[in-house]
Amino acid sequence: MFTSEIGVVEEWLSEFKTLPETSLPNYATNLKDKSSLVTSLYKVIQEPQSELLEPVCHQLFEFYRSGEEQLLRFTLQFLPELMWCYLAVSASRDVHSSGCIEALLLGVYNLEIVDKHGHSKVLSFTIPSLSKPSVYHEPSSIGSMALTESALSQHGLSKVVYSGPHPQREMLTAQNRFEVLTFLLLCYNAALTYMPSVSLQSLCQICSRICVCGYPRQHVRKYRGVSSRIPISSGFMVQMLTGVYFAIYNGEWDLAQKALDDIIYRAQLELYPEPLLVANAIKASLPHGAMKSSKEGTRCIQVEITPTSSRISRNAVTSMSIRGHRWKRHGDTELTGQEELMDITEVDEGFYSRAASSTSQSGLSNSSHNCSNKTSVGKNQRRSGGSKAGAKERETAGESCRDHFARKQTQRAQSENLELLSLKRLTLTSSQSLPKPSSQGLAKTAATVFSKSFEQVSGAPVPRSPSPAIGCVAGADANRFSACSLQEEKLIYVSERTELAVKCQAGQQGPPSISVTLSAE
Amino acid sequence: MAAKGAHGTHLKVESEVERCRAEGQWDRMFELARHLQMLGISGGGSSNRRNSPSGRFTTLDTDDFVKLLLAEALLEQCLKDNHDKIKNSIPLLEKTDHRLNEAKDHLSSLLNNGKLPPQYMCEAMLILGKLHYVEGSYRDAVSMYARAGIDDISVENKPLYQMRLLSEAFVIKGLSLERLPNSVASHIRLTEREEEVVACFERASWVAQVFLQELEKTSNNSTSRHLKGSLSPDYELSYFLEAALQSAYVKNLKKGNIVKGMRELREILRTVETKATQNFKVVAAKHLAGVLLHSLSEDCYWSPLSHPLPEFMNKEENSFVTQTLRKPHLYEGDNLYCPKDNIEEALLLLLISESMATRDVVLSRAPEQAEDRKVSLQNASAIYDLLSITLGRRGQYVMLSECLERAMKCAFGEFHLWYQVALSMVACGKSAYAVSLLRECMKLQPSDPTVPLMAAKVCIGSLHWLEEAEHFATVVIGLGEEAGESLPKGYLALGLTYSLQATDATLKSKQDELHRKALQTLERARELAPDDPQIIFYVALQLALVRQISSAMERLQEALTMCRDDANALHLLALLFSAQKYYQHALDVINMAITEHPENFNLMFTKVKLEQVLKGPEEALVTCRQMLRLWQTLYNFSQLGGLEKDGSFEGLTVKKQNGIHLTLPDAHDADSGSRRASSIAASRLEEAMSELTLTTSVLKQGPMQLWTTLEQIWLQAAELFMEQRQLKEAGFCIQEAAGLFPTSHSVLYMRGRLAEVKGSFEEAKQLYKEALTVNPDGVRIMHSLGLMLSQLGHKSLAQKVLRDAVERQSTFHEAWQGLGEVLQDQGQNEAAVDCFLTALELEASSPVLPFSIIAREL
Repeated sequence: MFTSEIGVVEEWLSEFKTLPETSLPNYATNLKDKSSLVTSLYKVIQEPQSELLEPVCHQLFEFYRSGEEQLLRFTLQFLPELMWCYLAVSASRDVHSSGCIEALLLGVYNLEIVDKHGHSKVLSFTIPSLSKPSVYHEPSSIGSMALTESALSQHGLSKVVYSGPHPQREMLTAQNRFEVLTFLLLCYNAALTYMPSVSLQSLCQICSRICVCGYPRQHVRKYRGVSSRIPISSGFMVQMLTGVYFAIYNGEWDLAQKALDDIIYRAQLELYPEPLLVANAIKASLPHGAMKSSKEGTRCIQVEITPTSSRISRNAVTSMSIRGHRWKRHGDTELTGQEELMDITEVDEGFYSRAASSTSQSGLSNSSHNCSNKTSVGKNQRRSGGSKAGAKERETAGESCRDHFARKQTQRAQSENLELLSLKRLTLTSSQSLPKPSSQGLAKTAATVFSKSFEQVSGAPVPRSPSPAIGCVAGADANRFSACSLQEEKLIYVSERTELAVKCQAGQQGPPSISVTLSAE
Repeated sequence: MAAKGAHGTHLKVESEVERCRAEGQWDRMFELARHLQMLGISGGGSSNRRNSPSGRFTTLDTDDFVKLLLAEALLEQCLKDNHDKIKNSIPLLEKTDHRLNEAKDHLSSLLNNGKLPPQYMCEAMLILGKLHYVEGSYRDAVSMYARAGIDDISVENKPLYQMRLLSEAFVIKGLSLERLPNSVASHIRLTEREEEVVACFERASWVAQVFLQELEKTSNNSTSRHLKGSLSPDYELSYFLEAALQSAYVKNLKKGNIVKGMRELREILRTVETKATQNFKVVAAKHLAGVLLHSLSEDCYWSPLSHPLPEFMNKEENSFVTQTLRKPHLYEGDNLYCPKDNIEEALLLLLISESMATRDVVLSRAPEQAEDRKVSLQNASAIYDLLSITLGRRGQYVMLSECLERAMKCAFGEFHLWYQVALSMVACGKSAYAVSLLRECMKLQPSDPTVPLMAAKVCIGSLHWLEEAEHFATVVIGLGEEAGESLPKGYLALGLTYSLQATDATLKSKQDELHRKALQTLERARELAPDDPQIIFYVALQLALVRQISSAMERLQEALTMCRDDANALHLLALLFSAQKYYQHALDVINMAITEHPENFNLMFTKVKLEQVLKGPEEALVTCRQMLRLWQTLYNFSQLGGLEKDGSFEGLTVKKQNGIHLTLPDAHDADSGSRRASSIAASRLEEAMSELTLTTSVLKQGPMQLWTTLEQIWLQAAELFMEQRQLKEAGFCIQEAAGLFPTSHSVLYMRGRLAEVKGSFEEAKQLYKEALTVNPDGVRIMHSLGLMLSQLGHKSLAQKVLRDAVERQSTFHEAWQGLGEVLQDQGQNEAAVDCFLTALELEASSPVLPFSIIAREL
């Protein structure tokens, strides 16, 4: 240490003592610009034998106790370095040569655990619940995805967790050492935005050192101060990560990156899951390539205009699309009461009459029917998706159905009789099932009815084996539609059901290839 | 009539045109334009058209109007196809795309004609401006917008699509200004321009949001009115609309202006979302959460509804005048949840975007969807990473594990996700899940030694699955050199597993074999890492377990030079001293250890024992009292702090710390062999039973360990009172313990002891038997039962029980002595002599409490 630096520190020591109470705020604001003072103070702290250490620590504590925000932060910026000195000394042989640093740390801790009135601080943290509206969302728009069982069980309750009160400490022991240091680091982290870059650099360096000292990697880092291992707690490491994460994004990319690697290294060796979890997440979330610091030196976030429109093809299987499948089980119980049953009758009647009219004649009604089919196919595809292949096939199947249908209208195939018969039976069986409100629900009955009637009608032309599979498919579809109908208008329901019925017809008299594709789903 | 009909069609087509322009359905435009042209020609004869209020243009202009439509459609289609080029602002060339050329021709011709009403002329200029930008002539674009006078355009009572045009115009103006060469060197001009750019972006985003909300409103209306009608597919944002939404905050954040950037982001996120903005909202929420986490600390947080702290306000310039613009709708209501700190806000945002992003993760493994899958997975996993950072900071690992579990459905083959889930499970103590997850991780990344080591740690620790632990440790060792610095840890894990298996084994030969293997493996670990204090300590412990006291001492001293204040090392030192019968030294060491670890009950139980031996029960009882007092304070703190079940907050492990120091390796069996599989089962049984019996009486909160510790303290006190022949007090103490765990085997055992001291032998025998039923491996119970049986005259049965005891734990010298006495009574003198000699020999190296009370954990 040069004499000039000693001079600066000594001047600082004496200046504060003579300072009148009133000029304190003014003094505080000017203090942070004195960079030579800050570097000199770092040097004092780094030299455990320095005679100035004790008065410096004392004055830093006075600053902290003054209650002046600026002074408090002035002290806080040295916290990482102070911690390191304390840990380094306590890890080496001589036990209590770091008395004044220890006292300073304890003093700060004991001030931080109480509020202005001297009561113990209890920090609380509310875990937001998606089932309650917030400034950023409305529960209804999130959809049912968030309504998992656990979410429902906590419905309307916001969970609050508390930390504290923390006990006063009179001395640092092996047992409470990291409890205290973790809390101190937490306080430091809360003020990270105010910390000058020197402090952030020091934080990164001490994190690296604490993690590698005494381990083989120390040679890689070429650090030669302390050679014994420094024990560490996992909670402390998580707090270190908070600071390092901040430093990465605020101008200390290189140092912080190194510190992050060292923390991961140590966490792996210690087998601490918590810091490993957080550090892995940080590492994975970092942008690739070094971050350029902007001209001002700090605080520059890399963001780009990113394409947000879903590039995902509509028929890919996503959690969203698969949700329909899961709905059926929950949906069953909800589908009770008159309303749904009414739906069925409406559906069946509608279908029956429309099918009857279309089979009888009239090109106009035919075209309208086709039109509604088209929309329903599109709708169906978009909504339920299914597996991609499945959806495509369904579409083609639907189209071929329509073709068949159209052809039939114009040229009256011989199968007409059979078709009519099947339609009748279909409506008959489904209406038979209506008076059973006790059955598990619409979806299942519909499914069984469909498959049953299908089997009945299909009989000879379709090979025996795939028919249960087809029934299954139809059942699944029916389920999905019923789920949809909970949310959507009834009309869609109607059109979809018609489409289904159409598909059945196609399967029944169409080429076997269709039934194969259906069962392949 | 015909004219009216034609007019009607005309109107219809017009509204259709407007709708398509708003929704960006450019493919339909060509058809509509043709339609319009035909109508224009056919309806040209009708004279009243000119005066018609709804006909906004005359037949003469139809051509120009159609040109306008065609030009726009051509340009937009061209943009759609060249999305990437525009994003990287690579100019499109007229030559390469005829559509640009065509569009330009149309536009310039109609601008030259000048026949259209001013509104359409203005539109043409906006479109031409866009075209200029696309071509890379930024200056032209800016001047075109100046000509159109976009700053003064009002969007009230105008067709919807104009809002889109205007928003795009603003963003393009901003982008163009950004890209203009800095011909003017003046600093002031440059900052002025910067400000103008930001203002443009802000307006663009504002208008775009209003536009999208209006669009959704109208399309909702139309769909509900005519149902089969246009079910517009999910609206896909054009590049410029996306840019309009994002540029404002992107620009601010890039400039490092966090305060303004955050304000923009928050405003965007607070507006009621539409279908079109859903995906965008996920992105924005992710950005905002990131900023909150990595660039804002708790002390300078301001909530979304308040203003930033004054020290940040000076950067704030006056925001642009918004009176002329309509505001987009925000989420409003009385009881809206508003976050109180940055972590809460980040968490809220991430939960929202998680629920949206995970819906869109592509699950199918089809090769043609590989790309989609990758992108969607990246999106989701970025959110999960931020969630991990957020929740890790607050120590909410239980919740984190639940969130990450939801990611599992898209995690197939993704090591990072699997590993993160596994780690969160370890962190929140769901050990069995964790092991299966880690097993999967090993398959995905077989070269990583940390994964099996973590699994081994969990197996050795909370699960006590020794076979699995052995397997995992061998995997690590199997990696050889590849495992690097983890290799010695692998040997350590294996050694500990053997050592624990030895403690569990019931046959002496098996025990010896395992102890030998344990020592061998641990020595191997030490060779590989000669300066790892943990390994050296466990070597010492293993040596102590096989009663090689002096070499254990040597190793331990080595370990102690490296970690002077480790609780376990000091504890072992005290026990080793006591084995050498240096009780005073032992007591000094334990006192020192307790000053460093004042809340460690494990150490205190040893202290009580030492005091009992050295100074008699009186002093030991004082320590017991201290322990009770300490327990009380710890309990109070845990009550105050941990109202919530997993209330370790801020990653501060208050509770966990307590947990660590309350660790009695096996709280219910403190004096006989730690961590026996059967005694674990016994304590679980007790837990279950006491839950049944205790629901009404004592309010039992806090961790189980806290209560078992209390039970142990009472029982310890009872033992000391018995030694002092204060049977009444002893009885009270046992009652206290029984109040906590009425069916605990240690309580039953102590009641038996009391009965024995009182002289009711039959009752004592019965109680011992009950205790043994609960814990069939309790050697102390066997010992007492054996002596009792012998006293009652059942010599051969006593011999059997005592033989069991020494078989279970061959270092238990009291049992050997008891066995010797029984054999002597039976007249088998020679065997008795052997037993006495063994007992004597063992006693010479016996500590006050078994070495196995020191936890063996990785």
